[in-house]
Amino acid sequence: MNKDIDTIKSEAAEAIDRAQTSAEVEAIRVRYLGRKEGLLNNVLKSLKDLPLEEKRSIGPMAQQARKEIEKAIDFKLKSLAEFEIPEEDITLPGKRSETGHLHPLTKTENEILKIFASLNFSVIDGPELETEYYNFDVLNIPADHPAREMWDTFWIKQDKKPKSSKDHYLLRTHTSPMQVRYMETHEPPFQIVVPGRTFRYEALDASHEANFSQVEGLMVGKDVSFANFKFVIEQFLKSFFRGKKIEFRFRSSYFPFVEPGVEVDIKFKNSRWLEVMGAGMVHPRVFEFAGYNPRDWQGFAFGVGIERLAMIKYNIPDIRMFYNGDLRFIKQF
Amino acid sequence: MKFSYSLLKKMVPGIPEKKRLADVLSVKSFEVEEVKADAMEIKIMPNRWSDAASHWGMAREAAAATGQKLSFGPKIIINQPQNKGFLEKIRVEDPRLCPRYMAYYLEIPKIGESPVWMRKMLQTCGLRPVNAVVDILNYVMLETGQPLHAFDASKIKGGIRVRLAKANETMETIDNQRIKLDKSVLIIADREKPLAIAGIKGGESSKVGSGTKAIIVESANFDPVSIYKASKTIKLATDASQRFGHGLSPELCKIGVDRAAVLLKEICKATFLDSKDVYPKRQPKKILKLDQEKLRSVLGINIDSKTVSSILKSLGFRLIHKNMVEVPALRLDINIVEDLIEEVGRMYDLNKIPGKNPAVLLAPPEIDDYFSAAEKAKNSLVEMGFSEVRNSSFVPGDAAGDVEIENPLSDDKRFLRSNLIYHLRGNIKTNHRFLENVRIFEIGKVFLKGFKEEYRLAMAVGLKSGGHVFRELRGPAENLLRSLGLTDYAFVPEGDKLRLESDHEVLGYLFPEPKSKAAFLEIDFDKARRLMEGEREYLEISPYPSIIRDISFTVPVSARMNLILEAIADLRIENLEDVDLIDYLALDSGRISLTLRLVFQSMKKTLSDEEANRSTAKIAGILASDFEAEIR
Repeated sequence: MNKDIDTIKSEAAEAIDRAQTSAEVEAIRVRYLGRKEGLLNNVLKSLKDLPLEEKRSIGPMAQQARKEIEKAIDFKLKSLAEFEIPEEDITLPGKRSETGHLHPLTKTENEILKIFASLNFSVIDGPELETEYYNFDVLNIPADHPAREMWDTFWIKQDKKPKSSKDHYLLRTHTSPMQVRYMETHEPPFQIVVPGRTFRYEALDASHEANFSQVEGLMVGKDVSFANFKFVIEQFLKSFFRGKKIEFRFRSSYFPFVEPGVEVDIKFKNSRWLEVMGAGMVHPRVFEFAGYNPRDWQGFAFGVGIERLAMIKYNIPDIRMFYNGDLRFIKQF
Repeated sequence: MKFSYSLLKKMVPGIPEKKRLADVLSVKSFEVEEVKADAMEIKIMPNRWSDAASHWGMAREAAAATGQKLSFGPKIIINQPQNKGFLEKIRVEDPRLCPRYMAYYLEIPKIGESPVWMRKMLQTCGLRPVNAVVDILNYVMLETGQPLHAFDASKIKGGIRVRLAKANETMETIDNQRIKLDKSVLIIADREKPLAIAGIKGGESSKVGSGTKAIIVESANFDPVSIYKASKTIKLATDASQRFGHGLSPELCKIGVDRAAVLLKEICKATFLDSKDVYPKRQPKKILKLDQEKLRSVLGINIDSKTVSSILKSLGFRLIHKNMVEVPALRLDINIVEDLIEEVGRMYDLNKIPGKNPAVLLAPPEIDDYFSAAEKAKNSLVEMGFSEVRNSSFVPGDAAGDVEIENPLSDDKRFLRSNLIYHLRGNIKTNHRFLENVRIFEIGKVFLKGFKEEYRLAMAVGLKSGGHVFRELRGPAENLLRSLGLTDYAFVPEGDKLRLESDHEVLGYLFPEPKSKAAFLEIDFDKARRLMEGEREYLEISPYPSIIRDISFTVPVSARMNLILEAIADLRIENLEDVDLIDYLALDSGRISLTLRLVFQSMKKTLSDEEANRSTAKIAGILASDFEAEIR
């Protein structure tokens, strides 16, 4: 009986060695280890007729032989697999399925709005075709003052001479007109963001487009302070550029509709300061234009360029790429 | 505006080196845009020209921002010679346009060159040295901010008058340009002729030259709006017009002219003989109450009153008593308590104010309908393989624009787009250079007559190799409409277009454009989203299997698919769940081969093959009888 097991073992080893394909190896597995007619199994089956003594010595030997043969088969299969070519070429490249892509500005805008909505800011829409009244007058930007030159304006051709600034049309130069538009129909406290397209009469280059997009922010309440602005804007920028270590700088600046006015710069590791937004505390004149009593309310406002944030986030070198419809650009995002 | 660092350093010896100063000024005062050799390019904000567009003013800022002492202050002459008969009467016709007019009369033995240090400083600040008199006046402007002008006293006939120009009056400037004036332009004139365009440019006729023996130095104040408009009208902008256009204090006039008199005496050995000062209404003093509580509330931090006082003092404010603060005369920008708060905040350093979480009532934010609808539409289109483009709002004149720009950037941007298709067509063409199949969409504003604007949604498919581009667009278009919740809509043929209707309103058009191998859809997105349904309800799903039958046939080219589908619908076949065109082929024979896939499904039972066959035969029958179909 011992001899039988040894013979089976060496025969199997030889057969495995000779085998050329995995199919042959599988046949060997059936022949020697098969549950029904496998040679080793037959030996084990015959054990039941033997005296207890022999069962005790042969049983473990047979188990040992099974393990060794299985190991040899597995090893052989692995080494065959390295040379064998399966029928189906599973190394073919995947069939490209056509996918659509959101514009990077939409992605950026969605991201911005998501963060502000999560900070309890409402999302409001406003007109692109504006009046001089909302774009300038109510924002404390006087006519015939050089301050207006901070906003180079596209004016709309009108058949009839406008009677007042309320029917003198232009393309909004910023999203700020929505400050007074919204306040005229809402009571504080509130906090809103207004995304949208804006326009400047500017020669085109890598950092200037005649149309671009902004998000306006406005928060008004009993005692909304500059410290609150810092908190909100730092939360926003940290969340927008998450994963990057970011430093902030608040610089004194001037926009006629805020007082104090600031510009916000950010800095990443090893980068220079990058200007990202203009902001400040809402000027009392703006509250007056909106019909609020400036003694009752305080608030902050800010405006951020969506292209600017997208260019920083995605490292895009030229603002004109956003508007030329080149899918090789859009499909990168 | 260019500043000389060495002059600032002379005025505030304690300021740090250039780079460091630039950083501090950028945070607390003005953005320093460039530092090059001795020159610092500093951006003066439009509200600060009255006090800071000068080395003296900038030195004050630098001193306050760095905590150093300002050691320069222009000398005021107290007992100047007045009304000695050298100057004739000065007449200011409208004091609102010229609140103050000062003239100093000086005799000059010889006009030579200005000293080297002065010429160097002028060059640093971008000015060209001319002669000692002109250089001194320019230098004083850069130093104090007051524009000055000198006339050759012997060339003035009769007294100086400040008046509006007459229609068609002209003047030759000192740099020999002939300027046409009109009734809105303020001038300085004598009895006979214009001598200078007020606040803008001097005239040739009274120019100071090498033969000049006596000069009249003008130091005046003009109404900013009048100068700003005049400069636009005559298309001439100068250093002086810029400064006056932003608004200056009449109190600056004497500071400037006194400084000039001192330097003229020193450098040109001039003798100061006479002066006049027409200043009918003095600039009132401004006194503001600094409310400590308001300051805390606006900035969100408590700054102790000692720090507040020392900041305000360093900027030249005078603390009268308690919380009353007198504003320096030159600070025309400070008018309300918030302005004072800004001064304190910026000099304290806004970066030192810790951020504070605002207290907000919890309420779900309101999201404008447009944004949720647009997001839904965009996601649906992207899922179907369409990419989003954003195109310019501008189009050329010939490209269907209703609203015209008064001042276009160029001819191809003269109008505002009245549809989105124009640019999508261009996008297809550009992208066909790199891509076979182009599937794009845009959601954006278009502009219509009557200053109206509306959101549109447009999609386009362009297949370079041709193919059935119209169907490639219509399928996704219908998916989009369904995903927007527009359940009840119809495409109605109208010429070579399909009109999209819903709820008896026209939403837009779908049309092929064989020339560009493209098809387009444009809909009124505002209208569409008003028709959108809210949430959908569950519809029961059949537990029984469906049976599919494909029916292939040919029809003449004149057959129209919408009529075929209507005819099938009219049969009202029970359990016919869906009819879909799965194959379409134009045959050489001039006929068209079509395959319709019929899906039968019952909610009550498993349908038998016979039932499906019977229904299919019925459909085949109507195809043959009504559409000359040959079933294959």
